[in-house]
Amino acid sequence: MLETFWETIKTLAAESAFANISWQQGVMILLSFLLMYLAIVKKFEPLLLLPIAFGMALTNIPGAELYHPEFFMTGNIDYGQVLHDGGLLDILYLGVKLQLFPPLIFLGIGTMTDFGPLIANPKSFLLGAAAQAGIFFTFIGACLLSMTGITSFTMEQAASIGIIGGADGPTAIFVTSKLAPEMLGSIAVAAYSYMALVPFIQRPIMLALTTKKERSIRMKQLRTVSKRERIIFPIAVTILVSFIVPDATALVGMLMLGNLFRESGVVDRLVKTAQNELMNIVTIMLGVTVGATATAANFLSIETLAIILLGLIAFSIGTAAGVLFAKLMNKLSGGTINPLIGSAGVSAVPMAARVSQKVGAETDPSNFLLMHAMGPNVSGVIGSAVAAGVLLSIFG
Amino acid sequence: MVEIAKLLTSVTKGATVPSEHIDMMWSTLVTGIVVVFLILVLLVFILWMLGKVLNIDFKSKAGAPKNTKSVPAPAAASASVPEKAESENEYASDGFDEDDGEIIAVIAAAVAAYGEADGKMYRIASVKRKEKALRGNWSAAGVQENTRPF
Repeated sequence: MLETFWETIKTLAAESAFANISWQQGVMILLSFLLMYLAIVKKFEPLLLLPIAFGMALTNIPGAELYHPEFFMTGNIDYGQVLHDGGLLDILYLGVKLQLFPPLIFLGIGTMTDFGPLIANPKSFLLGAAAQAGIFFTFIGACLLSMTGITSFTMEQAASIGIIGGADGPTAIFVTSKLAPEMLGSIAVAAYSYMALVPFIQRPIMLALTTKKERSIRMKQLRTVSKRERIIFPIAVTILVSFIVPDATALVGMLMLGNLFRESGVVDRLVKTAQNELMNIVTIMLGVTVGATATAANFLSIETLAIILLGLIAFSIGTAAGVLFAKLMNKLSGGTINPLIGSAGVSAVPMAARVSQKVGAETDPSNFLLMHAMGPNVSGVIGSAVAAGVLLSIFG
Repeated sequence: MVEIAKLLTSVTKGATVPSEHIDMMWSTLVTGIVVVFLILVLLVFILWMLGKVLNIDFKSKAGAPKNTKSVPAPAAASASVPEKAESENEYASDGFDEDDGEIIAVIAAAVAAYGEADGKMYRIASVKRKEKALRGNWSAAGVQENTRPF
């Protein structure tokens, strides 16, 4: 009996993760602990970073077989195989692969977004557009890195890296899951980490590109927006954007549907569900499965380091482009626009708008830029969804 | 433009970026920025038009704006009530115009209550709407209260 017991223990030990773990998997698990620390202690976008970090830990446990990247590498996924042989995270990952989760997150975001400041000052749209420059210039940067032989990014991968500059997690996941699924983990981690670091990244750029006089410009109070305008807005945006860039319809359409729910005032129950239960459920599944794609083979490479570096460049260029364009608008408008609101054109709602408010208040504590910055900020969400649609239409 | 880019991409799709496709990169950059700006500029125009059309609609419903009113003194109060927090459109669209007298009476009573301390009596001579471009003190205090955590 003792012998049988001993044999069983030996078999268990041989099959355990301790016996089978590679050093790469060990590093990935340690990295997931670091991300958990950043999410829990430093509060870095914890709603997504925590499930991502935990998904990363789960996927790197040898023998657990929760996620099989090989199921999704081929162009044609064998869904029967995924359902029959797949683990928990394989099945949940279908929501990412089939591009269900990001649009559902956008539905929830739509119910929580007030487009009033943007409707009151439509010129804010231009700042949201300018800040998307980070996406396209980073795409160029990624391509150039490949040309010099430092990395080996394809065009699709370069486009997915560029979209980090949109500072919009669901959009980055939406594009990457289609164009470069093998990079999903690295890009999601880079995107959410940088979104949490927005105040640290943006502030020095904003200070460097503006004068004290510009930072203390007081902007005219926004006009009141009628309910009719608020209701027509999501319908008009959906029709216009979807007609021009059909690939952006899933993201923009769901964002605007959520907003129409909110502004119509007749479907309170749907609003509550979309912004609470539905969004939370999808966030859990999205986070943990995106984390699961960060297997050691995919994550531990020079490419990941390049993605992290390029992501930082993307954020910085987006911020700088927004501020510079706001400076231009300020000149053309005769000094009525505070350039600090330009940086809010990168999405990262509402963090980027708060940074504009905070930096403005450092110069003049009685200057309130928050509502003015919310216009470019929510415009950035629409702008990055449009940019995503453009990239998908070119490379998808 | 997107179609052209698509055509160009069909050659390079899936391959590591070779240097001969540098044109493709720049065309993506230009296409992307132009399309994003084009759509958002169109939205600026649509929203601007929307604002114009709807505001004209409200104004015609509300009738001519009342700039000056003489109100009999409801209480001993100071000379003028300068501010109104909301815009005319909002009042007109929500049917608040008829309540101006009531609002003035409440503000006059508040001023009178303040004035009690120094023992003086006040009388309202006239009430004028003051157009203010910048945020008023009460509004600024409200915003400060709401943005303090940031």
